[in-house]
Amino acid sequence: MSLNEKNASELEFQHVHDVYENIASHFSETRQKPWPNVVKFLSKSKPGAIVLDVGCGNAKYFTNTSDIFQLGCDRSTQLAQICKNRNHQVFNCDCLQLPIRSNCVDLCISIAVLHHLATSDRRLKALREINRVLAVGGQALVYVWAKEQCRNHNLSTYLKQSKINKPKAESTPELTKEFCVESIDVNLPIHTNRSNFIHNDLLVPWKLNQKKKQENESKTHLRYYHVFEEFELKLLCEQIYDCKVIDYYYDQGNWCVIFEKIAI
Amino acid sequence: MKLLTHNLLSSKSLKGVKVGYPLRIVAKDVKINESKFNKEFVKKIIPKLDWQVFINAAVQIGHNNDLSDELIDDYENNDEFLKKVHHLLVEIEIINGELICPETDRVFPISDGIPNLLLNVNEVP
Ligand SMILES: C[S@@+](CC[C@H](N)C(=O)[O-])C[C@H]1O[C@@H](n2cnc3c(N)ncnc32)[C@H](O)[C@@H]1O
Repeated sequence: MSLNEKNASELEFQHVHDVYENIASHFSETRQKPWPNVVKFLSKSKPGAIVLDVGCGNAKYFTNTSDIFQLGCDRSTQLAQICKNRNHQVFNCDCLQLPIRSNCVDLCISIAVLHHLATSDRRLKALREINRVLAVGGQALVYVWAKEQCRNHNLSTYLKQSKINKPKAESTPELTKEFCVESIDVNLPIHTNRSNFIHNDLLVPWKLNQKKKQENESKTHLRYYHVFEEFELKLLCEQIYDCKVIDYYYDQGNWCVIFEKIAI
Repeated sequence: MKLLTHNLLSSKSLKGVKVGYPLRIVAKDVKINESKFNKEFVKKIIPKLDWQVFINAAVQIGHNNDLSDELIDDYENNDEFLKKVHHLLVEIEIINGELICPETDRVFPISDGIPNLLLNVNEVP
């Protein structure tokens, strides 16, 4: 899919930012369990480290230690409020423009955020921003959703949670319905939850829980995703001249990169 | 928003802004959250601060207790000094107020302790 800047930003506004504002509390209830490899990365921090979480959601990766300084940012004001209620330092911004001075962050994570950006330029820009704020020698860990939800015959947790997917689900077809994002006149496929991906750019439905029904909130929200192919994330990082890829791996249906800012 | 957070924030992404640092602070509502003094943390964080910006920020919100804008030499062994820094850096929380871009005067509100640095589409280059 190729969109101009204006349309990309419009799409993200309607099908990412608006959606997170609307589903914030339900989203937060369902996002409590940290991924082990992210926790492992964060455990590298030394006393006095400045640690930034870009797109921190409900602050799932924050701990109560006073040895390091943890700072989170997110576009969603509702999710930022949830972080603040848990006594964490947080501010609102877009990951395309981090309002942070250069060269001051020791460790940075951005988990499941970049796949919400609608063009390759924007995804690269977000990576550049992360690298810019890192101190030389500082490292970042980035997770994005993989198009491949099945590697080496193992289903990702995402597929395993499916009620209909039996272990041999590799060939489960994605039933495609299209949805027209009228404001920008673009058709995007609606993904069938817990199935494999066929498309690279799609809308994934989020159903608000039953309880909310009385409040007329039982609406289904469509979140925009760009799912990444095998080397896509790595290739983006390699376009940044003062950035070195340290590790690249597949974890739970995500492509993951660890990179370091290098001196030039 | 703690002063440690303020020390890192910048408005450089605004169209036409060259440095965008430091942001001026208007504090309307300040709270003190006592927290355990972690000496190791304070010692290690000091060299990462822009010290003058930190002291100026404390002055702007009316909380500077006698720290000089010149960082003292032997601070690592000076517990009294480190405790003062701890207090200013992490115990003071600005609940409501504003951050202001030094070059354009663009106001970023702080409400409920959360600074909002989201830019409008027409404010980015
Ligand atoms: C799938 S959630 C992940 C949250 C958290 N990182 C976690 O792992 O639980 C995606 C988050 O990214 C935020 N987000 C999406 N687009 C963003 C953008 N352009 N700038 C900043 N945050 C963004 C959303 O508000 C949401 O909190």
